Amino acid sequence: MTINREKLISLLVEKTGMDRKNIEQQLDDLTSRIMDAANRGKALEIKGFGLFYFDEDGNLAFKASDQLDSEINFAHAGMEPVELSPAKTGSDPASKDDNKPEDDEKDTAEEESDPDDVFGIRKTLAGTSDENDSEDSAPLGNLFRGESPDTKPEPKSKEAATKTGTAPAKKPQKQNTPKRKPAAKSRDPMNTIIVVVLAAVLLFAAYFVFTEYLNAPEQTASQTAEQQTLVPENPPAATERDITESAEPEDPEPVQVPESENEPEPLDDTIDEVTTTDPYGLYGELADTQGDLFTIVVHSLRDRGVADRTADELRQDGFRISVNERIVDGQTYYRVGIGQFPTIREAQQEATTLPDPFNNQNFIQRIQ
Amino acid sequence: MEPQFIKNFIQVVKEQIAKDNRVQINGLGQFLKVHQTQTQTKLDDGRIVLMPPKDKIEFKPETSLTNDDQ
Repeated sequence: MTINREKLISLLVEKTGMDRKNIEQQLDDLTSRIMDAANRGKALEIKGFGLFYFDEDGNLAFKASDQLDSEINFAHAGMEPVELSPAKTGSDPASKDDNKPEDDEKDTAEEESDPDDVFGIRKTLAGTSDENDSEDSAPLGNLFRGESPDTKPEPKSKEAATKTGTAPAKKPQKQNTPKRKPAAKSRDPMNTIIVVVLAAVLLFAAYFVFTEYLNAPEQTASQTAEQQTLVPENPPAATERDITESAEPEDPEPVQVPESENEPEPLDDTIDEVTTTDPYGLYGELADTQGDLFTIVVHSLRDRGVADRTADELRQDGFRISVNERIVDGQTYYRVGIGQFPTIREAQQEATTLPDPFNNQNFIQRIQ
Repeated sequence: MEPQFIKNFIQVVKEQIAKDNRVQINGLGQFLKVHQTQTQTKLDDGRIVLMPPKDKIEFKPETSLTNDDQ
């Protein structure tokens, strides 16, 4: 919609409350003053509105003030140019800074000092408020600034004025010149070295921690395997109980040596000569001793007859065999143990010399 | 010319332009709002920047207004 003279006068009458005729007179007066100044080769500036002048083509031109520009561009206020690709390498930003006008340097400094103001909203608002302040402080009589030749902008092509929107050369291409981001800071080589060293230390620490973490479960597993390995007949639920029992002193139970039909794997025929005087060891007969006594349990069976037959089979191979009765979770198990030893360590050492599978499927149990 | 008139004149013109209305002033020309879409521009230093969109005020002088001196 076009607001013509009649509508404009009506709006002004409504706005000011002044007489219509007076408004018409004032409007004509304003027009004539603008044209007079322009015809005399001078520019007339209406503060807070803009500047009227004749451009180099001899046409009347108008340059809106920054305040008017900001208010008209309210919907896009604060939007700044976005850099899509950086400057080419090899260009020296420092030398370019030297060639830039002071306005540009000032803008850069302001941007650097306020990195949070990404879109320059704060800056725009500050600039607007500054202008408002100056407008408020100025008397209304100063709305017209001087018609001095100084205020006349430099002649400029109309196309350029239209393109950039900055006809006068007061601030050349300021709006189309994006504010440059601060140049990338050159890194201190010492910082780089420190970072590299710290990273290396962290990597080594992580490596050691990781290897420790990996080794710990293996050791535990191997130790557990030595002590917890059971023969297949033993239910898993009894495993923990067995370990506990082996560590706790128990009353020795009478060893029975029944017949055995359940034949385990054949053992080596090379059996060391057993001395009847030595109450400890893998081979020989059971002997009464004083103090602690441990055995290597290789079978844990729920049937007494089977246990006895197994024990007898082993006994035929020369082993010192004992069968011990244990109650685990309400179930009675008959454990066939090989040898008797004064300490757990000796029992463990001897267990490794047993033929397969006894050397890795056994656990140590206290029998006295 | 009264300062109150100038102040209200500026206010009325701003309001009407903000409403996308053209303001015709006989003897001068027309004020109107134009919208510039965002544009991609290559600067002298090689950087490519995206200029934001913008609304700006444009003045179209009356065709009869020419400076005879020039």
